[in-house]
Amino acid sequence: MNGEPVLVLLIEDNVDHAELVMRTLADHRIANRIQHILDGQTALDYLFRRGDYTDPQSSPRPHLVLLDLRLPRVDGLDVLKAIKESEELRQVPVVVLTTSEAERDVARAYHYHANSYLMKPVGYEDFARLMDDLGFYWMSWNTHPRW
Amino acid sequence: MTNWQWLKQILLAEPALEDRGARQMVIGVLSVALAVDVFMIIVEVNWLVMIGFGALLLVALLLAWRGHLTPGRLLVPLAGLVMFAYLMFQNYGLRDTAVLGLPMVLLSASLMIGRRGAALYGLLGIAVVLLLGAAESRGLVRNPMSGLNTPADYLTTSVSIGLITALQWLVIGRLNDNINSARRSEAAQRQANEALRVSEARQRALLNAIPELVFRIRRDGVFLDYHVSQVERLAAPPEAFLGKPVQAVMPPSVAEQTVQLIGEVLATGQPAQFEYALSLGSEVHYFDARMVIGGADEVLTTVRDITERKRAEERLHASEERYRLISNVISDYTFSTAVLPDGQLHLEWVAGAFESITGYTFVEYVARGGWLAALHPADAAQDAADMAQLQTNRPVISEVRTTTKSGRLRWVRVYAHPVWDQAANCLVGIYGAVQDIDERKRVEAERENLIRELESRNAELERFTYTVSHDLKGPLITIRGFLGFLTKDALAGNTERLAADIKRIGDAADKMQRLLNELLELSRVGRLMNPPVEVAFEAVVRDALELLQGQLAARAVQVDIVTPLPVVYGDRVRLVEVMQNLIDNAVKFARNQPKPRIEIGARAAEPDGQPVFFVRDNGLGIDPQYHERVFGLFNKLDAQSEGTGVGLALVKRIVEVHGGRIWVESAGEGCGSTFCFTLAERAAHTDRVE
Repeated sequence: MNGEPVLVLLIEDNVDHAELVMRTLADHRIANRIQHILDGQTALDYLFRRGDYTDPQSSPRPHLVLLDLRLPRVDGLDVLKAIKESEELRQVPVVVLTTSEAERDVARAYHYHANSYLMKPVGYEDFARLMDDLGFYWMSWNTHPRW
Repeated sequence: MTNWQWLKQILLAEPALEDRGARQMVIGVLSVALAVDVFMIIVEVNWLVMIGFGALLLVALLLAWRGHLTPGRLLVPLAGLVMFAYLMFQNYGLRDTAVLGLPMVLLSASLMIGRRGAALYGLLGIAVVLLLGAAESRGLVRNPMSGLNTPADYLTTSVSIGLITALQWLVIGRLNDNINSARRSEAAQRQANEALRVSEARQRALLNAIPELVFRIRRDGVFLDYHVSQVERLAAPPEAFLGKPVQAVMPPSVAEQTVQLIGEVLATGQPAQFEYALSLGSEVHYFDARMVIGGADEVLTTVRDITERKRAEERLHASEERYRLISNVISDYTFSTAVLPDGQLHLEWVAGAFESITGYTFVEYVARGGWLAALHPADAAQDAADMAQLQTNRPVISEVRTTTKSGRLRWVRVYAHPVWDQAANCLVGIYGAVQDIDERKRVEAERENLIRELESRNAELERFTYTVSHDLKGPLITIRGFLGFLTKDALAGNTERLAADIKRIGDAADKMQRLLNELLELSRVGRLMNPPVEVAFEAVVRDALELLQGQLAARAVQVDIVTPLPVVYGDRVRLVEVMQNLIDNAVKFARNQPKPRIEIGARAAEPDGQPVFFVRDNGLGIDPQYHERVFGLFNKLDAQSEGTGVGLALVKRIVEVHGGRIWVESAGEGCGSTFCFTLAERAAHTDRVE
């Protein structure tokens, strides 16, 4: 455990789900900062510092990316692919957090070097537990890359 | 023996037959003379001289019998004259009975020689009498009667002989005239007979040359007479029908027809013709009968056996029928084409189902320009490649389209074989077969279409289950998640977020319901359709605008309709749905514009002149990389936008069911976007909608 503030980039088009994630993480006082982005294109702009995010101040590197797969404009898998193909970004852990149970999505996510693949559970208890474990693992136990 | 040869020759040789009348005359005269001579011998008057004369007569008679008349004619009168003159001189002069011989000689000569003989022997007789008179008066001749005769006696006798001669001359002349006239008339008669005979023979030959039977038939049908070149031609012996009525000879049907026609021919005078069949032995023979009027109460009927012709006709007919049947049965036609030195093709002949495949007759086809003229332009390259292969002496099997006479395209399979001139080492002709494979091609195309459709349906289904599981689970997670928060907050007495969370739950449930409804709607497209109708596209647009009226008014969207719009054929309700979705989309895209504007119209930009309908907005536009994705199920361009992501997928599905296609045109973000779609022509999609 360290006291360093951790930044999570949440890429999620469903605002309700984003709220669920952020609230559960907050309830467990895990994430210090969560940046929520609604679609794939904006996520890539943020990560590659283009468009509205050219200023590095406005787009600090996240310690963790929580990525939904079905996104408007640019699909989640394409975002994943772009991250893992980038020399600069590939060390950022990317956790796929999706409703999709499709084998194809799982296979492709790992093919593009996703660090983890999590299915959103239906039911509050499970959801809250997952977020708890997720937060604890990635933000407490896990040593994140340093920049 | 040789001494008798000449006599034998004369007697036994073939008689030189001269004029029969002259011969009879000579024989008659000599016979009478001989009879008188024999009488003289019997009564012993100068019997010695008479025997000598008789011998001469006998020889002359024999010769005349054999046809040699001249000895009798010339010698006998002369010998007679000499004999009688001798007897007169020797015996009693003018008073001797021998004087009677002079007129006899004269008569004989005239009978045998004619007028000239009469004149000669008349004069000779007068000379003998005058000579005798002179000799007596001079006393040179002496006999018991000398001195009794005066010169007047001699003169009287001479005159008598002269008169007899003259009379004889006249009589013979008259007789000759009669004979000549009789001869002439006889010759004329003979000539006429000969001409008649020749003419009859000619007619008979002519009749015999006609391969027909000729019958004379009386009004009541009785056979009067017949003619036939060879009796074998008659089906029955003449006695079987001559004198009998046709009803007794021919089968009833033929007899009836014959009698009826006889009546007609006799009544009208016009010739008639009919055909009939008879069973002769084991075979059926066919006859052609022609009837002409042959008298007041009878007709002439010629009958010809046309069995051979009939058989040939039947064979020809059978052959034609067979050919026609084969042509009908086989779907191919064969052809032979000459390749001229300049490379031109010259169609020589075709056989088989040519007309049913091309619709043209051979002549029409050639006149129109033949194979190349009928070939579909799109297959010209294929045909050129085929020709190139034939030019290398290799056969070709190829499938191309050809235009039929009715103007429709027909797929054919061509089996072409080169005709190679070994000496010149070049292609001189092509023969082969053309097969109608239109049906097969149509089925193939249909099958491929079905496979494509099935594949796309499968892919769609896969996408569908994937997206459904994803998108339906989403609201569920929301509902369950916020229910958890609600419980926790309620237990903690924390009411701050209660209303907001309840609203989230309600919205998620609504969204789920909307999703389910739209998915149901999407699955219905293609299954549940209204019957296609002709509808003015403008009416479709007006209907859609009507449904969106409130939304358009609230956002002050300017809508321009570019008229005129064509009439379309399809499911009116679905087409309204298409326009409603597209206009709704356009409104969303343009919502951030200060002056949102939507343009609706049709342009004829497709190569086949089909109208392209479009809905253009001045909104944010779509990056080209998303042009395909916008039509995918649950694919949304903007996470903030309301809507489920089913709308464009639904539009696409409806357009495809109508046989059209849909796409989006946009230069990119900020340039506005134009949604375009086509609808198939009436004929193309009617069967699909069923």
